Amino acid sequence: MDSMPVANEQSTDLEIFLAIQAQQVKALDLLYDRYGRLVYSTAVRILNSVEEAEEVTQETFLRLWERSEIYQPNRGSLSGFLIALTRSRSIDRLRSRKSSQAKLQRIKTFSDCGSHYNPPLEFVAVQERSNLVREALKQLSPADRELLETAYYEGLSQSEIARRDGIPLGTVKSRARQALKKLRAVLDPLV
Amino acid sequence: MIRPNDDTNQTDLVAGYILNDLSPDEVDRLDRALAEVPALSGEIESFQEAFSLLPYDLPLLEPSARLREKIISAASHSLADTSVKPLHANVVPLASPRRHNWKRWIPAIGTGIAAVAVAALGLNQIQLSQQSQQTIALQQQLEATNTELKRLRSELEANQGTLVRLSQPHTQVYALVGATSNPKNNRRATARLLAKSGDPNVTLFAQDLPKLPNNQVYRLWSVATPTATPTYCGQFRQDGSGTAQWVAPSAACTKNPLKFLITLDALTDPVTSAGPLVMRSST
Repeated sequence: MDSMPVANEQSTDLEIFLAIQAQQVKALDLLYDRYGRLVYSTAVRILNSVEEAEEVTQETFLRLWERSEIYQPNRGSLSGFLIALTRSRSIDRLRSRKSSQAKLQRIKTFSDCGSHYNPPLEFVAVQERSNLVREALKQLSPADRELLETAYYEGLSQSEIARRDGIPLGTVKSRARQALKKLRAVLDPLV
Repeated sequence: MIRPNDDTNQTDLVAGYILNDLSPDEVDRLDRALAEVPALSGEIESFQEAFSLLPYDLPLLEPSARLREKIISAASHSLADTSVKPLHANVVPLASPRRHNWKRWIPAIGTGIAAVAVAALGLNQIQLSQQSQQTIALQQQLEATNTELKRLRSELEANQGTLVRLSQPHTQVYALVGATSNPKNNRRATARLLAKSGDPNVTLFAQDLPKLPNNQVYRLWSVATPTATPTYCGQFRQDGSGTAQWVAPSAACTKNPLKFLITLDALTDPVTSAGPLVMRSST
């Protein structure tokens, strides 16, 4: 019995994910075609190591293949999930290189909340997403953009950024939150 | 998507949450806000999604071709490993393991038969042609048997999943009927849909539901109450036997809905609106 729908190059991310759930190797190949470079580039940016980035990329795709239930389509886009997983794994490695730090505290309530989130992101081609994100980032000041990128790629807390850059913690928090709010507002059509 | 009222403080807390910079007091405030305004969780997901878009700004690097091979090879191997395991530990296999093992011997039997044939060739030149033909025929027969065994096995595995679902308590069976008659045979499509509250897996068995071209899909929608807006519950195309299985994108889909609807949509249609009605369940 075939699992539906069968994935091909024209399939949506959701269809590819369903085919991965049905353990179709071709679907994993298609997903890698679509997001392999993005996942790998994210890992390289965080880890600054080609070897480790390849390991994280492999772990990310195989994790989804082996435990597809970890992705919930109603919680966000598949690409966002892959990137978040890559970032999380890469930052874990980054931290284990430095010292053991307290893991990110996540609010339990978040995981308990149901929602009906269907991002329109998947209806926009990958290249178009890049263009939109670049345009959105141009609307931030260089300093605010750097602040967000530091938080994202280096996994530093606001207190760590404040200490490192010699800026009051309140200022870092306020600026980072405002920058993220602005980014979200500009990217609203995608998220 | 439903967004909560634009409360600056709440949005600020959400941004802080995504940036992982909330103070303990702010965590409590966000917890309370989430309890009071459940739609705020959608705001968190939206911020998370926006934050996750940052890497789209990176120059894309090409990983080595070897990486793809490693990933696909590992996935294929894991498939081979799991294919010999039963689907569920609590399911008694309908065929005994010995039968599965017997299949492994098919190539050996084939080789043995071929060996016997080859020995016969050495003994008698006259029998050469006859034995070769018999060997080829036997090998073809074995290949056909092997293919049939594979097909039966995959069918059995698929049916085991359905049997398990049917045997689970609280599995609901919804009957759906076509909105119009199929012009080819003047019959209305019928379907049975298996769903269980809390389980996102959905299985549908349809009859007389027309097969679709590649650019179209059927979409399932659940309706919670007589006045509720339909909730998108995934899309599908049935296989040759009229069966489709998929995972519903929302828990609300299988939470004892009032009724289900099936619409016909283009693959590229947004899931925020539905195409023409094809089937509906009775309320």
